[in-house]
This record gives sequence, C-alpha cells and structure tokens, in this order.
Amino acid sequence: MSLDDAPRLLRLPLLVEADAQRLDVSAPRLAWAGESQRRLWAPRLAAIRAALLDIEFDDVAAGRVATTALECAPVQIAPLTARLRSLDLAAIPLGARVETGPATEDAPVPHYRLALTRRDGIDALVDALASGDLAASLRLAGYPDCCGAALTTALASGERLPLAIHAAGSARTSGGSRSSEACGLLQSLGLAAVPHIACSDRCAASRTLGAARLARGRAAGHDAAMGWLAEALAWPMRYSRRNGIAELHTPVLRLLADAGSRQPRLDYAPSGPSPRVPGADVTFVETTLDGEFDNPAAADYGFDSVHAWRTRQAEVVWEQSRRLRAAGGSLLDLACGDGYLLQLAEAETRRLQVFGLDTRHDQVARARRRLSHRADALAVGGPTRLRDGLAGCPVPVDVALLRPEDVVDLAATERAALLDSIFAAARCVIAYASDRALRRHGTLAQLLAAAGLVAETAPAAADISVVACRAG
Amino acid sequence: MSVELRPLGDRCNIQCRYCYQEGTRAAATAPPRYSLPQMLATLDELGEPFVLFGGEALLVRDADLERLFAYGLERHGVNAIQTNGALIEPHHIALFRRYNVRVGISLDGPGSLNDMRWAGSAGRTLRASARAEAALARLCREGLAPSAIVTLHGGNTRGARLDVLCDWIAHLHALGVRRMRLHLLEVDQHNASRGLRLSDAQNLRVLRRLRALEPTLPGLRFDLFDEMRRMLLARDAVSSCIWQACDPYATRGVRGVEGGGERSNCGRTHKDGIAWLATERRGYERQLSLHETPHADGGCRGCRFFLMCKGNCPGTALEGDWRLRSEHCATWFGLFEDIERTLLAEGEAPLSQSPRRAECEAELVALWREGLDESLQSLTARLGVAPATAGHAA
Repeated sequence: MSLDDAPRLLRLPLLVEADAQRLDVSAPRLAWAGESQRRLWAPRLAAIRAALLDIEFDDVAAGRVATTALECAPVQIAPLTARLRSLDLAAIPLGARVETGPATEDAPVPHYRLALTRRDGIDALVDALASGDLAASLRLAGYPDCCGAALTTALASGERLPLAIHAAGSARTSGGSRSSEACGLLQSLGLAAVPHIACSDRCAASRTLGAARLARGRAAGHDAAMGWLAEALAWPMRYSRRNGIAELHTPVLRLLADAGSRQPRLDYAPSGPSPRVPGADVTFVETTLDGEFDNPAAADYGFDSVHAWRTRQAEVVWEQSRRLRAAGGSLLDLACGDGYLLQLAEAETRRLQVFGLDTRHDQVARARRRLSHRADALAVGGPTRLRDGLAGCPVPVDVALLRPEDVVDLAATERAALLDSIFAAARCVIAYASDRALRRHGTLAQLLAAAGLVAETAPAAADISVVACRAG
Repeated sequence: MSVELRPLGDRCNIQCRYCYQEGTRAAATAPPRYSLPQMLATLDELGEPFVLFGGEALLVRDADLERLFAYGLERHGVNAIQTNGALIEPHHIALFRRYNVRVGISLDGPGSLNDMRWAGSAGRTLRASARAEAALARLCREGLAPSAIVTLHGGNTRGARLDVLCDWIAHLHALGVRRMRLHLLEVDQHNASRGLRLSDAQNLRVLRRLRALEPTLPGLRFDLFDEMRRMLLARDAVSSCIWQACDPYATRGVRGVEGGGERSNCGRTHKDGIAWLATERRGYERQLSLHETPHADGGCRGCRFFLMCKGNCPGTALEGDWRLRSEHCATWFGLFEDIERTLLAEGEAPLSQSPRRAECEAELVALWREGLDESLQSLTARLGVAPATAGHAA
C-alpha cells in the first residue's frame, strides 16, 4: 500500500476562493532514509493514515467534531462516496489541486478537496466557508481555543505552512512538557494524533484530545496502526526553516516544503539538538616534495620528463606484477636510477629483496635516500659490478631488469660478454624500453633484436617490457 | 551520462581522505543489496546510458562486469566507468575495448600529489597511485585514452605542487589524454578534508593557472572551462550536473542506481551519512529560494551568473545546508567573470550581459514554480533572445 492509496486528511481552514486566510496544505516532498526504511514504513504509514481516516469519519459522524477536510484522487471518489453515504455524511467541494509529473506520467491529475460534515452541520459549514469566518471554521474543526488563537495569529502574520506554524509555536513555548500526542511535525503526511494544528507540542488540550483519539483508534481495532503512529511521533525530529524552505528530518524519512514565509529562520529539535558526528581530526601536514620530481636525469634515461620516466617505471611493475609477486626472492635493477622502480617493486610484494646498480653516482645517492633501508644493496657500477659481489645479492638473482638500449651500441663482442654475465647472474631477465629507445627502434621486439635478444613470448603491441632470452 | 550505477554501493579499495562517501560508509548498518537482474531492470526503466560508479566499480566480479557492459553496449552502444585505476588489469582493458567502455580515472597528480587518495599505508598508497598511472598510460598506448578527474586541494596545488601538477598534466597530454575534469574539494564533517581546503582565492588562482595551460596543450579540454563558456553562451543542452537545477531530494543532475536496483540520489548530497532515496517528484524549491535570497543570507539574488550557475552543486552548499548556494561561489563567480571577459573580447554575447537576462530569469523562475525546467538553449530560443554570435566552437 502506498501513501497515496487513501484520501489525504487536510487541516482546516481551507477557503474556496483565494484569500489571505488560507493554509498551504500541499503535500510535501518526501524521501526515505534507505530502501529498508521504505519497505518497513511505507505500508505502516499507509495503514496509519487509513486508520486515522476511519477515526476521523467516526468522530464527525458521532459529532465529536463538526467538520473535517480531505483531499482525494479521482479513483478514490467512488469508495469515498460509498463510505460517506454509509455514515450519512455530506461532502462540500473546496476546490482541486492539479498534479503533474512523473508519478502521473506527466498527465494532469486533479486532487479534489472536500469538507465533510454531518447533514445537520451543512448549513453551519457552508455559512462559515462562504463568509470567511475564520473563528467559526476553527470551532467547527474542533480547535481548542489556544490552538485556534495561535493559528489565527499565524495566518494574520502571513504564515501559511502548518508545519512551520506548529514548529514555531513549539519552539516558542517553554511551559509544560512535550508530548507526542500533541506533535504536529508529521501532520503534512497525515500523521498526527490530533486533527487540528496544535499550537505547540506542549499543548495540554491537544495532548488530551490526541490521547483520547489514539484510545478510540485502538478500541476500534486499529491497535497496530496506533502503535506505529505513537512510534513515529516519538522519532527524534529536527525541523528547520531557512530562506523559505522548511525541512523535517527523522531517522526514517525527511520532507521538505515551500515555507512561503522566508523569515524568521528557525531550527527546532523536540528531543534536543542531534549530536553532530565529530569530524575526522586529521590535519594535512604539508610536506616538501623532497626532490621527488626534480631529478634532472630523465633525459639521460631516455625520457622527455621525470613524469614520463616515473610512468614507465610504474608500467614495468604493472606489466610484470604477477611475475614479481610469484618470483618473490630477489630483484636486481641494472640501471636503477633514483630507485623509484625498485621502490614500486617493494610495494608490490614484501617478499621481494631489491638490489640496484647504476653507473651514475648522483642517481645511486638519490636511490639510497629513497630506499634508505636498502642503502647497502644499491651500488655504483654496471652489470660487471656483479662479479665483485653486491652486498647480499644472491647469484643468480631471481629477476634482473635490463634496458636493452644500454647494450645496443656496444661492440658485438663486448655486448655478448656483457649479456653472458647478466644472464649468468639472473634466473630471469626482464627487458624494458624507454621512450627514446622506442622512438629509435620502433617496437620492443625490434629493440630486443638490436640488442641481440628475443622475447620469451611475443609481446603485445602495447607492451613495454618482456621476459628476454639470448637470440640464437 | 547522468545515470550512475553503483553495484557495490560505496565499497572501495582505498580510503581517500576527502571522500564524500565516508559518512554513508560509516553509518552503514547492513551490507548493501546486490542483484544483477534488479540492476538491469532499473537501468531498463531509466533507458539511458549509465556510468559504472562506486566506491570502486572494479571491485565488481568480472562476470558481472562483463554482463553489465554487454547490456550497455547492446542497449546504448556505449559504456562508461569511473575508477581510481588501481585495480585495472590487462583483462579489464580487453573488456573496455570489446564493450566500447569510456574510462575515467580519478587521479590527483603524480606520486605524492595523489597521497590523499590514501590506500591504508604509505606503501599501499604508493602502489595504488603507481598502478593508476601505469594503467592510464597503458590505456593511452592501446588507443583507449581515458579521461581524468583531478580534485584540487592543498595536497596537489600548494606551493611547488601546482607546478608539478601542471607539468604532469602536460605529460598526460603527451600520452594522449584529451579530457580532464576538475573538481573543487568538497569539505564534509565526515572526512578528513578540512586541512586540505583551499580558499576561494587559492582555488581561483589554481583554476586560472590551469585555464592558461589549456591552450598550450592542443586538443586538451578541461570540461569545466568548456562548460562554463557554453553556459554563458546558453549552449547548455548538454552540461554536467553542477550546472543543472539540482537538489538533494531528487538530484536530477545525477541519478543513482544501487546494487539492489534501488534508485538513489547523487552521493554528494548525503551530508548526514544517510543514503536518502530519491523522491519521485522533482521540485525547484532550492533554485526559487536562492533566486530570492540575498547574498548575505546565503542566496544568489541579483547575481548575473545565476541562470548559468543556479547556486551550483547542493553537495557543496555553504554550512552543508543544501538550501544555500555553493561555498565555492566566489570561485565560480571569478571564473565566470574571466570567461565572460574573454567572450566579450572575442565579440561574443554572453547571456550574463544580455539586456534580456532578467526576462530569461523571470521565465525560468516561472517554470520552476510550476515544477518544470528548461535548458537555457531552449529557453532563449523560445524567447527569441539573440543567440551568441558564432565564435569559437564549443
């Protein structure tokens, strides 16, 4: 059952013609606090509204209140008519509201507003409506004197929204204790124990009327619905009006309405201000970049910028991540530069011991700063340095990283000897290309060929690294 | 694409310091629902292309990912995914190619500039950032250049970092990236973003620097400047969500579909940690209020850029109160002024300077009062407001 399946109880006074003394009873926009809340409470709220409608009809039929008002869609007219006929109640049209939008598939749907009364009350109601006698309307609607007076004052000051009127009154009132029976913050959804707009949630008269009404509801067999209503009226609520928009928050739903009046700003929470979730107390500590991006050697390593260099190193680790994680053990970068690739490899798996060689003192110094815990494992020198031993580096190392461009321009015999020592010192050699090398040789495969190497398996067109073997 | 599909809700593999989803993440009391058939049913109802979103969308298991992409390709001919990039593997790239997936990667810069996209430890953050950079480069190399989203904050723009950021953007351009989206940091009570906040003056300085960078990188477009320019020229038939008349009850700029097929709002509006469901009925209370509210009270009254800006994203509202204008107002105003000046110098006629601007505003306000909306492009055409002279292409 949806909230819109039953006619919607309105709150008088409503007048047929445009007039200053008219409440805005537009349905608010409602949002649920998640799917589970909607599944639980949407049917409950529909049941509550249906029960309150029953109680309202009974109250009017029994003369406990002279008149009430409701709004209904065209499809609800027939069952409503039957119901009114059975209770010998009359309905006087008050106008219509036209709704269009997604819910109506953009076709205009009228919602009829009707005032209901017993047959013997028709004259009094018609007179009150026609004359615009606000006091008479309020009497007929069963307003306690205090609530009637508060509403009259509010309307005279330009307030139109029942929610705003009740909230303002509740925030102003300090005497007495709050009661859910007098709570009117959910009244725009048809959820209230009392049929009138209570002057405040501390109103004693409203509390008495509300409690009596809930009891009548239970007695009439609406025990579950009255229990849910009591539960809803006890939700922690937070109302605010700001710049003409009124909003109500509960743990289950929130609603907003055009408040009309823009002032005053009001924040009201019947159960006290909600504790604000403390923000995370983390202060951003501005650190220096510490040379992270000012390495001037990018061009020497075949890249147009330090960013291009870093990206390539990240790509190598990305392409080879499975192999690096599977190999565990040891990784040797034969042209480690400032150690960024080794740092990424370490971050890939803690099982990897990293080692680095580079012919440039300045780069090895940077690498030792970056990987201070591996300072002894980083040395100045080329691949031949392995013959002298690199602290802790096993021979053979599990994986060695080789830049083929570093051997391409060597004389054939020198290249062959160097590759001999590299492949003897490593179980697996991964070759990767710089941007300059790719520009020069075209593809990774062509670069490998120029260096006297072949790929263990043919690289994809976009690959920039591959496991390499000696050619021939 | 305005439909965000969040199969796993806000579940993520990293913990960005400034994540606007931290509130809902912390408040969650039960795991989100997951039903591929329900997701597809809701997507069918919406009938629009969608972007896979999160949290982190690539946490979705591969079979379901492929199923969603297959649906998107068959139904709309295109797919999209927004990701932090750290989980991209070669097989994902194959999926992206096969199913025509436009990839957006969120990265705040190289190396330590991306540290606020925290992955739990310094080592994991380093790894995640490097993987994202590698994946981005790989996508470019495969002819699938992604777009990039960069959130601007103290961690990537203060001091020397702005120079590094600009150099890095030039590097992305060299790789083949042609579209970048710039986000201003959204500061929430639920995350650790306060220390990262930039002032309006700082934001403006950064944006002006990036706007000056754009023409030096042929073909690169920062969506933000492009859109603001088109908004001023009333060419807003397609514009991103922050320029649309949005409110947190029905974020028309972004509509969410959750893992159980539920419809939801843009997560940027969930300020109290609750993922409120979308209302069926749209309303323009926020825009109507902003139009009438003086600047001193958090509104936009009298602002000549109101038609274009409309108070901007409610998720960035002053004091976290969606009824107020964006806290970045001064930044947007300054940028609009800059672009307006440029347009005038080019001989264009921005709507902000049109003698009929008030008439257009009144018309749009009247529509909003009726619960309707219209693009500036359509509205100005209908009112016969002189179109901007043909100038630079949008």
